[in-house]
Amino acid sequence: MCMTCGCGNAEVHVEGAEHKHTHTHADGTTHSHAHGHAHEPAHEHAHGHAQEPAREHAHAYAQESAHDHAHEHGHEHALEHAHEHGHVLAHEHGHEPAQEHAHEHAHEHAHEHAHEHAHEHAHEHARDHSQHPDATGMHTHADGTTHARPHQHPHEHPHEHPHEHAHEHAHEHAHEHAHEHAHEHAHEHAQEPGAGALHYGSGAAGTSAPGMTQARLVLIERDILGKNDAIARRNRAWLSCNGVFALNLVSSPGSGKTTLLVRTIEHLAGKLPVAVIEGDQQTTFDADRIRATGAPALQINTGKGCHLDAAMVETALGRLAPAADSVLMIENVGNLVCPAGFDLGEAHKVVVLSVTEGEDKPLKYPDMFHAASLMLLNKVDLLPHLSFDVERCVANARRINPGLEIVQVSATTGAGMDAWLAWIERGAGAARRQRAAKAQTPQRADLAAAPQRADLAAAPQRADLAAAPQRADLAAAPQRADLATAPQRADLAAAPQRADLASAPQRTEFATAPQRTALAAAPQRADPATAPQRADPATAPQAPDDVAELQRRVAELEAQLARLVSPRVVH
Amino acid sequence: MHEMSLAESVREIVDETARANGAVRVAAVRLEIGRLAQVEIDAMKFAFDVVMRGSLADSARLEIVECDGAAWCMRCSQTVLIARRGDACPECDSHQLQVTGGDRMRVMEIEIE
Repeated sequence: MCMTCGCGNAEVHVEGAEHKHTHTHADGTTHSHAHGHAHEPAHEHAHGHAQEPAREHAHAYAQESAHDHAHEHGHEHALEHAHEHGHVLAHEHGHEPAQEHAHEHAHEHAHEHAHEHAHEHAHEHARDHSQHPDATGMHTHADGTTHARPHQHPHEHPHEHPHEHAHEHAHEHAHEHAHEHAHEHAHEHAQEPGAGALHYGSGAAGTSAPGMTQARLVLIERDILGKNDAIARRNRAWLSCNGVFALNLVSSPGSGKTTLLVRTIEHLAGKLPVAVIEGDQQTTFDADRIRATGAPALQINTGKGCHLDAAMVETALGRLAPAADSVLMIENVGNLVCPAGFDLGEAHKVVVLSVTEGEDKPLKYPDMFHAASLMLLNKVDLLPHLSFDVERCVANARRINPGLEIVQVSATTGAGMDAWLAWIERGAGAARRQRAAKAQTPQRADLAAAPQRADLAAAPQRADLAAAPQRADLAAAPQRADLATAPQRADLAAAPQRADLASAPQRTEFATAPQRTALAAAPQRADPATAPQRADPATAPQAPDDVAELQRRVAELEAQLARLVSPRVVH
Repeated sequence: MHEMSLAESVREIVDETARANGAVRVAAVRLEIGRLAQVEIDAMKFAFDVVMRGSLADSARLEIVECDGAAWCMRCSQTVLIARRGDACPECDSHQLQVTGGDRMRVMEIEIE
């Protein structure tokens, strides 16, 4: 099913893709993929990832022994990357003849990093066993427990298993071992009596609470739509760096979006370059119509999906490659409900409502009208034939979104088009100026070509999001700790005091000090069980994301305040 | 909207965190769902039970903390609580409100063993 929206088996197709290997994934994206698998054992391999557009990724599996397994990942995954490897190994343990050993590896890697994740599994298991062909079977495991099992282990472990996981667990590697022999690997128990020592320090909490299992709380605080939002942020940064003014056009089906777009492109010809991303369940009709005007267009077919998401747009951006200082129109799937919740990275959502739909729509679909910056009231040429109350419609929309700008248009007669075009030109101008300003102070220069970049090793923010904070190539990691600490917190604390934002709302989440403190303090905590969490790809960006989010909201509110003070309703 | 896919996202977050912390089982999952978030709580509970089967959080206890919708009222210059978008300010009845909180859904914490 579509991982984003849960709609059926989303067979998302982004037109124009030349795939070596067309993959339609559980998460609905398609990408190209060169796999070289040279190995014998049955290797079931399911990937789910929202991929960087136009990125080749090669998995090289070099298998020498029955179980030699080196992964090289030199690419960026915005999603969790679940590998399920069902191996049947030639793994004789010798205590029962010719025992087939189903070795389940469930690797969950939150790959928000662009470094080489060469897994070397220090398979302690193998080493320890080789030490001790002891009659009592006493051996020490990686986690420090020792126990005695009265069995013989004349092991030949052809168990070259290079995977290094810098994960904290009771057991050194994130495996569920389904072993045939009664051999507990999740060692949370004290040892057999009479063996000379009792070890309680091996449990997750590092200590023992009498009479209780070692249950504990792990703080997460992650937004469910975090994945989509993270990709949207990347899209937004890319668009901004390239001066592209992107609009997300939303409406119910049949409001006249495509016709309006065609007219808009015709009017802007020669003045502003326009590119279009079209979203529909099926067909390329809309993209075809756009292309007939001479503007480049890319169709995304969501299959059963009901909205475009940031990952789809990221892929489309890579293929479409809008020119610098151009306008990008994203015509979303016709739907007044779902697209409201999915940030694509656009500058604004523009809601198109036609006069044939009824003036109560803003009240019926408040989320969409709240999320939009501009409402185009379309098909006004039909007003003489309808009992549509324009004033009431405007009032309803303003009730949901007081700062909503409203323009009445007719795509067929051209009425109101000047105001709409002027609005676009203002936005495009601002985007252009922002790019010029950024070009002078290239703080995010590394994002300038983000969607097409094959090598993300240079992206400092990606590197430090790795789950292995001890790694040398994560010298950038301390920067994130900096971001999480005082200077940003001071900024956040200072923002509400700005005179011009005296009426700026403070998000209730930010107002709650303890959360901020926890995040700010976390990177410094020495506790090994929690430190990796803070560096964990999913939680590490929490602090800077909130900063970006707050900055975006502040900008939004400033704009709204300006509009409220001098309303610009063009009739 | 899309509670099943939201539950899938919750599962991914929970699985990842649980494994990173060496858990054998997840006993409880606490979600924070804002009143203004586009999430239907009952549908979420149902989807959660279905989606967690077979994972480390199979039969985990689900705790949902509903947090109020908050908005800044431009007329009375204060943050007020609202139940739905489109509601008027409970203090001054104005509709000039800017939503500031209660429009998100988050996985707050998990209890692991």
